[in-house]
Amino acid sequence: MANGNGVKRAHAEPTKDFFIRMITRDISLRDCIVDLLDNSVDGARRTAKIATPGVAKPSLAGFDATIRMSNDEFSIKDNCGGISLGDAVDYAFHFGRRKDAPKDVEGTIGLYGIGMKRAIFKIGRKARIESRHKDDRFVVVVDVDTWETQTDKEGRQDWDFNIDALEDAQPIGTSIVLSALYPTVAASFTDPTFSNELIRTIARDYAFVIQQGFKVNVGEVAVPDYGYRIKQSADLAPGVIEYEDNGVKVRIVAGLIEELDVEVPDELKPEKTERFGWYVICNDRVILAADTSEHTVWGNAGFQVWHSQYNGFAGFLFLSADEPDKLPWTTTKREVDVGNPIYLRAVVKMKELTKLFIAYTNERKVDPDAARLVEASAPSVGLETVKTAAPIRFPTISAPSTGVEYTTIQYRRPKAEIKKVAKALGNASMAAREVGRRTFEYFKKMELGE
Amino acid sequence: MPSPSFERIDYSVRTNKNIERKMVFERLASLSSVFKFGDYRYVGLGSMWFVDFVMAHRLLGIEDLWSIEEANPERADFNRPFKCISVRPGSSNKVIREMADADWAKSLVVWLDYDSAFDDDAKDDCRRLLERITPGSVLIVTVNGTKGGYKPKGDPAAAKSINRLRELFGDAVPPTALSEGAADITADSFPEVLSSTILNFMTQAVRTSGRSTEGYPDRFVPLFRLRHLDGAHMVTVGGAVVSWRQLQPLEQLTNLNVDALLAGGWLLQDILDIVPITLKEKFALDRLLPSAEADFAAAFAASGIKLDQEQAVKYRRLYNRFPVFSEMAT
Repeated sequence: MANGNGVKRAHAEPTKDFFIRMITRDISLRDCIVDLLDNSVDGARRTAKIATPGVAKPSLAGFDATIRMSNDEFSIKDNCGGISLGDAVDYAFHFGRRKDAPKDVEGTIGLYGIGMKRAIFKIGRKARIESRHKDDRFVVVVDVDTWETQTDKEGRQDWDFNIDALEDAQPIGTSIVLSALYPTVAASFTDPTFSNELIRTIARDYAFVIQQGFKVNVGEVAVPDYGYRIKQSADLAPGVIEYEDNGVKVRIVAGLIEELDVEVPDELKPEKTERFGWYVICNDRVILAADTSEHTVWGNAGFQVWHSQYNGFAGFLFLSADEPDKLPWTTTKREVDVGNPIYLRAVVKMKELTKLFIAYTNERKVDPDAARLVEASAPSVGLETVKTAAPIRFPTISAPSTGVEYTTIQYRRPKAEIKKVAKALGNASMAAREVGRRTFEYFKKMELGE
Repeated sequence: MPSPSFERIDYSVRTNKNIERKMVFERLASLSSVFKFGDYRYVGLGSMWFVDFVMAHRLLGIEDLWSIEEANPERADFNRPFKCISVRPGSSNKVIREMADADWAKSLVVWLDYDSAFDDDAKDDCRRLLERITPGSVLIVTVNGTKGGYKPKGDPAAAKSINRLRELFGDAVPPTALSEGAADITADSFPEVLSSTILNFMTQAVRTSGRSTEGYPDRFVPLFRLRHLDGAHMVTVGGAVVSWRQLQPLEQLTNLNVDALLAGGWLLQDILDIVPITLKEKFALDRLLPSAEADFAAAFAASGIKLDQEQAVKYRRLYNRFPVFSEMAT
């Protein structure tokens, strides 16, 4: 189209297809569900804040969200205050957060105005959103196929959703029910391992929210408190750095971790290797967990890459801000915006702590057994109790005076034979290295009497 | 070193195993309207006895049967009861790994009747099969479900069976595996936890393989969740990989919706742990049967049979599958 001066203008209007089929590819099904949970947590914070004015971090006890999944339907229902009709009309269904959106709660998680819509489009073709707020109640029914083709009187794309009044006596809260599920989504929802993985993810990523009293259920399972812990004793203590950077509170805690809280059922604990590395937590929501990549420090701008000998180390970067858009998260809340200057400055500090840890891993090589003993004897404390800034501290390890020299034996045998020997040793799944060690000890005992 | 199981056990005369086998094939036969078994291949570990092969041939009409035999394929070949059985030498791992495209094109009923604990090799076998078997194929696995057989790879001193399951199966271990505050799964509940875990693993293996028919993901329908006790606790679990086209006739046949089918609504579940009973006791019990549960208790009490009531009640439920073994003069 040309304007009066003969200059042509390029069309830049968005298409609905872009929202339905394209942006849904950038996020996993699991993270979409977690996005919906973010809305519940924000609702709980909003409601708690109004109920207890002046309290910086009010308890979230009494607030909960329940997720249910089946071959035909997905639902998330909470008791977190609902959406006010005014917010629904002007903001909640808007694609992208409007500049004039009210900043009614500080320290929220939701900030892009995309999570709920994207989750709907990712999961199914039909949605029913019911909100019961203290002031008003409404329902929005979305048929994605109809919405995709609907136009206004002038024949232009109509982006709006109809809001109908809801008159019932059900308790306050929000309910989102999605149906006409995509076949691959339905297959995931009927796979118990998907649900177990979701429980594990929520336990890990919402640990700091669950600690504030918030409850999440997936089907009949209550997501446990993950209970992050770190080792602390006279010889061994985490480093803690705290500062404020342009309205963002930064707190970095790094050191050695041992076991997770004994109260957490074992089967919800990630495997050992999934626990170590750096964590990034924005407004109490874990964004990166156990990262061993250049997204944090490892291999970042010439820094040392992660090595399995570091298993045992964990660092936590907590960033909190009243205005969530200051934090370095992406729309999926599963990655950090690595170019964010506040984040870049934090990574510099994280590298300082990590360097001290790496230096220790080299120092302890003179007597790893002694080092291990000291490390193992240090008790673990809850991360939330490590509050004041302190330098990182490691045990001093000196070379043993006994002068015992060691060498390594290595040999190959057929896998089936090793398995048979392992079975005879009482554990068919015993590691080959252990089979070698035990057969050597057996020989010593039988032939040398030692 | 223990000898191969066929040198220790004559599989045809284990009572509970025998009942379980009948139940499995009866259940499969009941699905004949959906799965045309006549065109299938049966794949099993026939050992020297081929008991399951005889049933697959007679009850399902399968005329193409493979027996995988590692320890003594020549002796197995000598013992095969039908011409249509072919002995494939090697481990199940090797035979499955070397299956040609034409072998994968055929629908299969596979029963991997291991006599050991579920391990990485069993996992490989199952995963490979679930990723490639044609829709309509069935996979059944029997493994030792005794807790003591499940120890993690590290030092057995601190061994917890839950850690071994986590190591093998990850998220397939149910969140309810441990009762509250417990450090490990109890020996009593271990076989049930293992059964749930393997079935979850099978569902996951089908889903995460991305396999689909006409754009719709194939599904895993759990069919078997059995336990039998002949010395060790053995668990038998399995199900069918089905396309969306096969789901509808299954819904009609079973009168269950897809959700219920996928969640195990059509599972054949039982614990078979009948103690050996004498021929005289069997005949005396048979004379009381069939009988409703309530009537049976009174009739049994009056019969003078000196068996535990609990055993008699179990017998009542399974009497028409209970085997009688006798010596044969040849």
